[in-house]
Amino acid sequence: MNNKAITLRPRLPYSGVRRFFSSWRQDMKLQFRHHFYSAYLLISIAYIILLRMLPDTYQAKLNVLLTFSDPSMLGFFFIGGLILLEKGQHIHDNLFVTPHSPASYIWSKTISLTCLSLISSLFIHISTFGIHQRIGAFIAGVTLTAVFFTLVGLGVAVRCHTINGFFFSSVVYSTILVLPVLEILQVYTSKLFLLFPATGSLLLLTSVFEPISGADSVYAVSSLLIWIGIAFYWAYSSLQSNILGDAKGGRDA
Amino acid sequence: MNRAAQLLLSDMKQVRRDPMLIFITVAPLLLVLALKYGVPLVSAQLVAQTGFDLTAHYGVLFGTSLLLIPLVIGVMAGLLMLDERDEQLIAYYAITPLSQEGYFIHRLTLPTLLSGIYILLAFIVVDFSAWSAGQYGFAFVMLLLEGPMMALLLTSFASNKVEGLAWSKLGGLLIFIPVLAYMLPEPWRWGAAVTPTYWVIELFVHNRTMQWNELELLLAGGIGLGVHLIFITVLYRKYARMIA
Repeated sequence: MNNKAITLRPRLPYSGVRRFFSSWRQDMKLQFRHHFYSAYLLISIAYIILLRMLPDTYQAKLNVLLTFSDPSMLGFFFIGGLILLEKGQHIHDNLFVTPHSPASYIWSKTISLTCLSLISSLFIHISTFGIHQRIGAFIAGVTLTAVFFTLVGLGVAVRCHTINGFFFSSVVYSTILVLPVLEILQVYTSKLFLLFPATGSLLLLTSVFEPISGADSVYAVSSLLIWIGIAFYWAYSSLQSNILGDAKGGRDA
Repeated sequence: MNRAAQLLLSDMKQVRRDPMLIFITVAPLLLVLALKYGVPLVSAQLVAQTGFDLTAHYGVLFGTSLLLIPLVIGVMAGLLMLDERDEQLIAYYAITPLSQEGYFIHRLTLPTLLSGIYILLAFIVVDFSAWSAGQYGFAFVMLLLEGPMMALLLTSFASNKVEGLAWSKLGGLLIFIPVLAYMLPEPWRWGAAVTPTYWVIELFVHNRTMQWNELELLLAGGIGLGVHLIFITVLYRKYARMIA
């Protein structure tokens, strides 16, 4: 007879943290298996060739625009598919009866996609400009932008039923959110753009090439952090009402 | 045909609830308008500001913009099919009189027709009046094949909609590669000739002042069509294997 006492594993204070890390690792694995990394490897190489062929005067500006519009925003695009696939497979019903909290679910998805943004952006940037002192500003710009846009994408995705519906909604949201790009392109300028999160992103990314004042850096980082707070709150309550609480399972899109 | 009409009717009902149709109709239209009015405006501004003459590159610009029409529509059709596969709807369609082939043809007919209409519209509205009927003709057939090709690329390689998104990014790269090739020096640019999209852009790179002779045009058009057909055949075979 087996006399070994069956002891329940004590609930460690850091079990939430461990759960978060294993979920983050799982998300990264899933994204790797779904060819996100191979797709972005090829895309990054294409961007590097493009940047290297351009005259030096255009390289900096194009790098800012490319980084902002593609690798930084990829989370916004991919999160739609991830959420909708899980929705279709009814994963959420089972997932949220476990101790895995909605907040750590959101952060695990967001941070894993941010890793891809960061790897791809840095690969493009370092291959063209090398490693330099202002790389910190670049990393901060990409990370904060990627986190913000992935959170918004998550908020949009939980409201949608189909992937094409998600695209339609995301075009509407992203068009409004990226308006400050018009200023970089010298098409239109407005003081109102200071309220947009994209202004902070573009300021940080541009600061890599044209140093900005300390006050501007503080403005850019704090504006993005505030926007990330708002986006998280919105994504969290959207998840609560559209997936966890609402029996209808989300609105039409 | 009657069955296809029934599915079409149910699609139309779906469309009223799905804002995707607005996107599919509005996006190519905006593109055509941007080409007609935006390009000359930007071109004039560029010359004034930087002395850069965009008119010399209208061919590659026109070709790339045209390629975007079947890309967007084809990717949407592909994602719709992946959505339906994820929900196992294709299995249901397959046991109805519509059959699996009927479903496939139906899902690709509408996007092809739609992109055909927009491409013709772009040909008529955005006339930079520099290309011959032969160039337009070859390009039209190739562009018509691009939509189903993009949809097939997604459905034959992606096992679900998440992978479909990654593949749609690579589909976008198919348009980016010929543009890169246009900027590369002579022997290197031919590397892009294996992509079907290269040949659409190649057709428009020559204009009236730098004309194709007939043999060259026939050769470029013929090779382009050949590359398209090879791609479609290979992708279709892969799709059929995946479904079976």
